[in-house]
Amino acid sequence: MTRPGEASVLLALIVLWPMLAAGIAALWQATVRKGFNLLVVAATAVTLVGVAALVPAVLAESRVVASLPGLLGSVEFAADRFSLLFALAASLVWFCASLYATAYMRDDPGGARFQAISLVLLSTTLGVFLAGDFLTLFVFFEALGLTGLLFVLHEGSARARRAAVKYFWMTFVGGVALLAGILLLAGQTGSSAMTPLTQAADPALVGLALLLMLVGFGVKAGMLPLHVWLPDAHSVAPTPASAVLSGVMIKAGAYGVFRCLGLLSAPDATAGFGQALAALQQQAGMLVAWLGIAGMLVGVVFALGQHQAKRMLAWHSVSQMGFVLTGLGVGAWLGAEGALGTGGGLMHVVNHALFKACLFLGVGAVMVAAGTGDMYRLGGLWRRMPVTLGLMLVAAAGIAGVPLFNGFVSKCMIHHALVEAAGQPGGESFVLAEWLYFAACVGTAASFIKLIGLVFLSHPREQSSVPVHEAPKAMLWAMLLLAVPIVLLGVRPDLLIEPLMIGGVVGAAQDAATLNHYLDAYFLSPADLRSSLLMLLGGLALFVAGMRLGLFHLRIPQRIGVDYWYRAAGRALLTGCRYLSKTAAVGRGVVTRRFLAMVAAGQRMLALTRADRPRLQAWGASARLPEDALYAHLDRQRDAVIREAGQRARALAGYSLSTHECLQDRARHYAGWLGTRLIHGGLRMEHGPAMQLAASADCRLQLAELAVQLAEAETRHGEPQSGAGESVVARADRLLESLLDLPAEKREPVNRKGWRELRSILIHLATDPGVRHWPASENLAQGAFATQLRRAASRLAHDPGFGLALAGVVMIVLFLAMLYGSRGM
Amino acid sequence: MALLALAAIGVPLAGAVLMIGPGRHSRRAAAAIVVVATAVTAGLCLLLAAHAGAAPPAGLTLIQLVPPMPIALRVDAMGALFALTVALLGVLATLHALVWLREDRRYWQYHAVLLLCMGLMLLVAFAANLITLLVGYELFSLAAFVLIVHQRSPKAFAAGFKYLAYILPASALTLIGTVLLVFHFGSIEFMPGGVLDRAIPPAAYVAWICLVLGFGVKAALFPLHGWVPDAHPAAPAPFSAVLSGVMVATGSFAMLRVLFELFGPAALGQMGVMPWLGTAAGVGVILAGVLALGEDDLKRRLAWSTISQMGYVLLAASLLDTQALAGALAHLANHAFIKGGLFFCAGAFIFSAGVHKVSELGGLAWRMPLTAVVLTVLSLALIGVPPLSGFVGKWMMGGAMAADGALLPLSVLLLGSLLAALYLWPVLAAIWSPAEDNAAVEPPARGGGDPPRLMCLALAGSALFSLLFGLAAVVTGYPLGLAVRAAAVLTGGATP
Repeated sequence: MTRPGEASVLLALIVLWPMLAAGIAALWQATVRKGFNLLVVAATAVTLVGVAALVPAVLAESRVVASLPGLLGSVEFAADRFSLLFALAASLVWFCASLYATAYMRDDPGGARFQAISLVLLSTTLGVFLAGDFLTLFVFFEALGLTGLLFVLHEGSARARRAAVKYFWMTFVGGVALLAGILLLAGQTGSSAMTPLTQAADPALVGLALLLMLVGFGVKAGMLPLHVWLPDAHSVAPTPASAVLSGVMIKAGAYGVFRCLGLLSAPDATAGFGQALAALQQQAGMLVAWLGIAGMLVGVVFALGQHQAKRMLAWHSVSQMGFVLTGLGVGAWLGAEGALGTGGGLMHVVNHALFKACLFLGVGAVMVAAGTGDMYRLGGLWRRMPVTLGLMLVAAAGIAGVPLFNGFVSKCMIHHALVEAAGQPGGESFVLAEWLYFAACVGTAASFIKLIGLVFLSHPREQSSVPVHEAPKAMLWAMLLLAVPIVLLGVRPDLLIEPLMIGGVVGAAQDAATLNHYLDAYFLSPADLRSSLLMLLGGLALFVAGMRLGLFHLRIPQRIGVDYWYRAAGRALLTGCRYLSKTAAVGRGVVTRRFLAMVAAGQRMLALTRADRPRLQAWGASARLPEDALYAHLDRQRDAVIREAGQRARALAGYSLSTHECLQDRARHYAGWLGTRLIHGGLRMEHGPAMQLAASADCRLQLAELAVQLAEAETRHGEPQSGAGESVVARADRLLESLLDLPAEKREPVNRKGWRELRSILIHLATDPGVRHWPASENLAQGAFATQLRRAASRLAHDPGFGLALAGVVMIVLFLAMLYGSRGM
Repeated sequence: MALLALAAIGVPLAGAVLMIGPGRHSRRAAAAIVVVATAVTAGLCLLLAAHAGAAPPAGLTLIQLVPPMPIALRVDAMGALFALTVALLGVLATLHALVWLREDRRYWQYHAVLLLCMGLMLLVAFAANLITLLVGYELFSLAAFVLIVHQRSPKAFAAGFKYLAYILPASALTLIGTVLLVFHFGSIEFMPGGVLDRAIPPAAYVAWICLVLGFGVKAALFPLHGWVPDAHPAAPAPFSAVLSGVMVATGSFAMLRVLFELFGPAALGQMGVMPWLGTAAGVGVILAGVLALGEDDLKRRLAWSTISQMGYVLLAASLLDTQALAGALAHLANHAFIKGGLFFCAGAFIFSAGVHKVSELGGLAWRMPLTAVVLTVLSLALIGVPPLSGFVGKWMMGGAMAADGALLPLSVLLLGSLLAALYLWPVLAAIWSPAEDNAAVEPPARGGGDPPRLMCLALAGSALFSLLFGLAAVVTGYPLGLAVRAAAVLTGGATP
């Protein structure tokens, strides 16, 4: 009998000891090799003993708390009856798994690392079960998820890595949802304690918080539709890891769901909030129950289609967790009378831990002995592995719900709760649920008849070259230690229900009478035995039909499952993000490139214009307005030159994509410039030769060729040099002179000095249409009206009187504005 | 107490001067000077932090330029928090730099300017009025330019000029804002609860915009964050850590000082301008996280991550809530060590393995185990996994947001966490991928193993800090305790 203070210390120690032991084990393995296995098994045994020692204290005080300073305030531990239920099951399964692993990991180089990680995981799992408030629970929950990743990765194969990636992301997103829910809950109610809610500011937010927490816990519990990581992860981990993953770690999720639903039981809530809570409880209970039923069915259907034994067992974990969630959900829905449902769900947690772990260990023993886990390739092992067969029969009977085994008790409890709920107003949907429940039980029975039948009892399919021995002693002892409680709890369920549950449900404001009633009236009653027999017969029939008709080999298309859609969503998210950042990067590049190209084109234009200015001024003085057909033909020729240059530039090879674009742009620019000079020259020629020039293909090709050469030279050297170092203008001059047939002209030197000359140059450039250069030279053919306007503006600009008058008007306006403005202030 | 603050500012400056003298000739002397200077500064800041909350802030006026603008120092909780962050990160960055600059002949320039930067940041931390803060802030901006372009490569110069192009207009804006405050508020002395004792003048809005934009450039506020992804990778690795860790934090710190101790929460609530700041910060968090996903260069990815994480600080501060502000300040301090450590790891990868890009990181964990473990721990801390330090700030900020019913900031907070996992996962997956997949990669010239001891010490130090400040957050008193005290003072105007 431990005293209160001692119990607190024991509680904290139970959680922290395995982590310490992991450190010691790692050091031990690094230094002293011998006795490592013994150390690990002893550590888990000590944990089991510690948890068992806590039982009397909890029974006496109904809640033991411990508090350590750290984190954001204090790390709270608390043990009440339900926590102890989970913790006991966890410690027992872990002890058996460690014992098993000593034999299983004998040939595995990573065996020591596995055992050390296993101890850390035990610590985090116990931390979840024995957490005192939601913050501590969250901390240990996240640690559990992350450390479990190492279990899944143990094998190191590509399959393991894929399963680990899926596991990580689902666990992480679930963790984010859980954090959101806990933050909302803590924000609304002021504390993150796990006691039933009494007051909150906004019930809608409380509902949202609960939904988020359900998502977070549901991922871990394998609740539909968040279960997709489970089959991959549990089948790829080594067998003792699968046993604890399926047996205990998913129960952490169920524990969380249980605590969330427990928040809604509202014994001391204020009046208005109490009603809101009752409504929430109903909704939450219905949701969890139906998700559980869906999980039951989906799990069984997929399990029946598997041929790998471990994967089949993993799908059955989804199914059995569906049973648990159904029980918890119905219990919550029934509210104060829901003790049977909640009790059934919790008992199924313990039962499932026991028989699923035993099943995994047995399958692992078969895999080690026979070398394969494919049920369709095994057979006839009953002769060589009788003890394994016997123990697996016990576990299979447990999970199938054979009377006198523990599964029968919990399944009947949940069934009774469903029947009761179906009879309540508002519970009509539970009638359907009952039928679905029965179907799931039939499927489970069929599946396990298939397992035992195919693996042990049937004729061997293949002749295995390896002689099959019975499993090693350690493995058999581990399975035996799990099989004994299976039978014990089946025959005497009150050993578990009375101390740990009845007191607990009373504390949770539920009526324990239903539980007592069940133990007295319904346990092993004829009605229950009849329905159980019916179920087993149905299972047998399904098995036979399935094997005969090949039903178990039907494949369901991938798109029906949520797995496909999760992966598609993940891919879409990543693609979207990458597209956005590529767009940003490309956007930066494209915009910069365009900007730089514009700047370069402008600089080119300026340079050429400057070089051309003397010639253009000379021409401007004697320009004919381009109104006749000659201009149109020359313009068409210029367009053709531009097109030709563009085509030639496009045909060039050896440039990167962006450079090639620049090259084509440049070639077209140069072609345009040359074309414009052609027009200027052609307009000064005699009409006949000019028309010939406008139609000459040879002229076009030469100009295009020059344009492309100039563009290439600019691209390669950065400036448009020609081969002999002569300037662009000179080269163009040479070509055009050869093409054009111009009368000699006098080139008047332009006197740039003096403001008058500058002004006349500027006005000339701005107003004379002939001087307008490419690319605006497309506007050479101006309408008469625009020309007249331009002439008028030019005249006005030349007129000093008009300028003075304009300046005077502007000054008067400003003066008046100042006058009135200051008056207004 | 204020004399200690003066000493804490003076020691790095003296170290910088010494570096230009004796430190120039001998590497050993330089190493000794810089290690002693940073260690002494850290010790002084520890002392100051220990006493900061206990006594009322002690003031010390140094110089009176013009009567309304003295250069004065004051030690209070928020300043001590920031100062201790700067000092501790400075120690770690110095250890890293001693290895990084091993083959650099201009090592003394780096150390000198870094010590100068540290001294100026401490001046910002302990400033008692806006003028003092601006003196330290502007000089620090310019000194940081020198370090950004330390490598003198074209890329570094381009990044440095981009940084200047952002920071110089920002300086002008802060100056305009300060002038407006002087003439309309009357006093620019930092007073908890704000200095405004009359109705809010219209110029206050203009001043607010100027100061937020001005300080927001340094604080990497969206859309003024454009310099960060270029400047942080271009700087040498230990200075990138300081840039991401404390320089961006300097901007946020200055903004928080001005907002809470010049305007005051009451005035800000009346003005109704804080939701705009919160929106900009929130958009920055998400956008930066998304853009980080597309970056192959590791340091650039971490730079985007800095923008995202520092957005949290301003997002939480915009709620004008005590717990949110405490979370923001704690996050400011914790992020410094986490991001600093991540940049140290990136520097170790460049130094030992010559690897800059995430796509080249394959299988490095098996050759550089300590670096990989530190990177994993720090990544988990950045994502916000408990019980590491990143979780502390997020819990407090998230709790305040949930209590206020501010669901949108809460979802931004959690989405930012998810994005952090998304952009850090490829890094972790790459370095821990099995050695067989990466057998084709040959180890580089420098042996490729874990970096030299001093650099490993810096790495381990940052990982240890993030573990310690998370697991034992309430025990150490820093940063959580100091942050809570500082937030209470800033929002409640209570006697500190």
